[in-house]
Amino acid sequence: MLRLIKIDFKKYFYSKVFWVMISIYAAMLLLVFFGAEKFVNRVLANASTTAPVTMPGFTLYSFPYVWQNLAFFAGFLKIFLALIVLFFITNEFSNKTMRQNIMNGMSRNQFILSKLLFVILLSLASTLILSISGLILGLSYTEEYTITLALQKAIFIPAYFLEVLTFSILALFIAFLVKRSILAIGALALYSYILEPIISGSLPDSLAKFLPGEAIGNLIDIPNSALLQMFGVSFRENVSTQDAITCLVYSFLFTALIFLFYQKKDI
Amino acid sequence: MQTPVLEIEHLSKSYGYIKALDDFTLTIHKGEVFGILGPNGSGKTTTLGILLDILKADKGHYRWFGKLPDSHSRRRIGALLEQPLFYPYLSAERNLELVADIKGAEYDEIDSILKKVGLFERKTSKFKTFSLGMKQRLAIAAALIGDPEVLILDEPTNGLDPKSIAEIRNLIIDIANKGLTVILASHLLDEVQKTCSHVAILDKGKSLHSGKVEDVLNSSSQLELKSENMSLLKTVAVNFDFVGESKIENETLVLSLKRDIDPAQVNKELASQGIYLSHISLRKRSLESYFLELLSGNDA
Repeated sequence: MLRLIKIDFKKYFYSKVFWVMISIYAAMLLLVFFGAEKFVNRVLANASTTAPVTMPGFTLYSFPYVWQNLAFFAGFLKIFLALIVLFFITNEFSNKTMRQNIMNGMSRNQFILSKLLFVILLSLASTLILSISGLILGLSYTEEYTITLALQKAIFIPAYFLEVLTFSILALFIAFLVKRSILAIGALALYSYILEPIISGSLPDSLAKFLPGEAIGNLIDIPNSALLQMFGVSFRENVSTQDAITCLVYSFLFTALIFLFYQKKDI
Repeated sequence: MQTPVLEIEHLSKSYGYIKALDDFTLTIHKGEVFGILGPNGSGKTTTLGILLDILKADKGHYRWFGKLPDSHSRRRIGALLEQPLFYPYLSAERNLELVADIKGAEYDEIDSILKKVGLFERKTSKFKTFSLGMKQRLAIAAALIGDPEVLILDEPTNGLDPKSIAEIRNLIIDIANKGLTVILASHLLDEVQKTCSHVAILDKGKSLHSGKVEDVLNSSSQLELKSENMSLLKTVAVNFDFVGESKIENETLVLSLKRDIDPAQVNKELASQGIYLSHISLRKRSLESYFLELLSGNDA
C-alpha cells in the first residue's frame, strides 16, 4: 500500500500543475475560513441599514459552532478538489500511462487502488486544513473554552471528510468511466447541477434524499444562526446517520463499480 | 525439458466483426529471439497487448514462465508496445524511476541504461521535449529496467533514423547474446531476418507459419539444375531425400529443398550416375519472398 502511495505521489510531486492546483485550492479554503466572518458581518451590516430591526453582529468562530460553520463553507469548494481528481486521473488515460503502468507490472487492481488512495489522501489533506483552521479560529475567538466544549460538535470534522471523499469518489468514478478530461468535467457538472436536481425534483423528498448529490449535500446542513432563528427557520445541528450511511454506501458502490468495470476491459 | 518462457494456446480476440486474433497458438523457449512478423493490422500488437494484460482475449489462455499470468510475471518482462508512453512533464530519469518503482527494481542501473540507449546527457530533460527517436530510445531504456528475463519489442525501430536503427538492432542482438528471450513484432522482414532466431508469420489474426528462421530460409530455397538429358535428370533427382516438389521451368529443373544441402555433393552424386550438369545453382529465397508467398496463399 505504501509502495502504491509512493509511486502515485511521484507522479504528482514533480508536476507544477499539481502544486498550482493544490495551492489554489488550499488558498481558497483558507480565504473562506478566515474571511467568512468578516464577509457575513459586512452583509449583515449592510442589511441593517435598510432592515427595520438591527441585526446583531456575531461570530462564526466560537466553539463548538466553528466546526459546522467552517465545514459548511468549505463544502462549496469540494468541486475544485474533484477537478484535481478528474484532471490527474484522465491524464493517465490521455497519456496512456495507465497502460504502461500495467505493462510494467502493476495489476489493474493496484492501479485503481493507488488512485483511490490518492483521493483519500486529498480528502484527508482538505480535512486537516479544516481542523487546523477551526482549532486556531476557535481558540482565538472563544472567550472561555474547555476541551469538552471545543470537541462538542467535532463530529462535523469526520462528516466533512465523508462529504469531500464521497464527492471525490464520484469524480473518480466518472474519470474512470469517461476517460477524457473535458468530457469527465462536463459529465460531473451535468450530473451534479442538472441531472440530479431534475431527478430529485420529480421524486418525493423521502426518496430524493437517497440520491448521491443530495446525501452529500445534506450531510452538513446550513448552520443555524441567531439571524435565521429570528425568522423562525431552524436547521439540523447534528449529522444524520442516515445521510452518513448513504454517503458511505455510494463511496463503496462507486469504488466497487470501478474495480468491477476494469476486470475484463481492454485498456 | 525446461519450462517454456511463454505458452500461448488458442488465443482469439475480435473487435466487433473483425477477428483480430484467430486461434493463435505459439510456444517460446528461453533464449529465443522470436520474431512475430506480419503486415499492419495482422494482430501482432493485439497478441502482445493480451500477453501484457492490457487487452483481454475472448478465448484461449497463455502462461508466462509456466504459470498463469499475474502482475508479478509482468515485472520479469520489459515491454515496449506501439508507442513510447511516459509522463510528459517528468524528466527521462524520473520516468525511469517510476518504472523501477513499479518493477521493484533499484535506481542504480538507470544511468548505465540511459548511457546504453544514448540518452544520458538528456536525463534531466522532460519527456515532452524529446524527439520521436529519443522517445523511442527512452521506451527501450524503460523496457531494460529491472533486469528483465523477457523483452517484448513492438516495432522497436519505428521512427528512428538509419543510424539509430542499426544501433538499436545491435542492442537487440547484444541482449539476445546474453541469453535473454526477446519477442520482436515487426512488419520489417529485413529486421526479423537480421535479428531473430525464430519467426511466426501472422496474417489477419492467423498464424501462417512458425519455426526457426533458418528453417524457413532453407525450406524455401531451391536448386536449379540443367542437363542435356532432362528426363533422366528428373527421374534421378526427384528421388533424393532432400527434395520436395519439383517442376520444370524454362527447360530448367527446379527443386524445392527440404533441408540445407551442398550443391557440390549433388553434382558429384549425379556425375557418378552418368549425368553431367550444364547448370547448377542454389537459389536461397529471402524471408520476404516466403512471406509474400504465404500472404498471397492466405488471401485466396
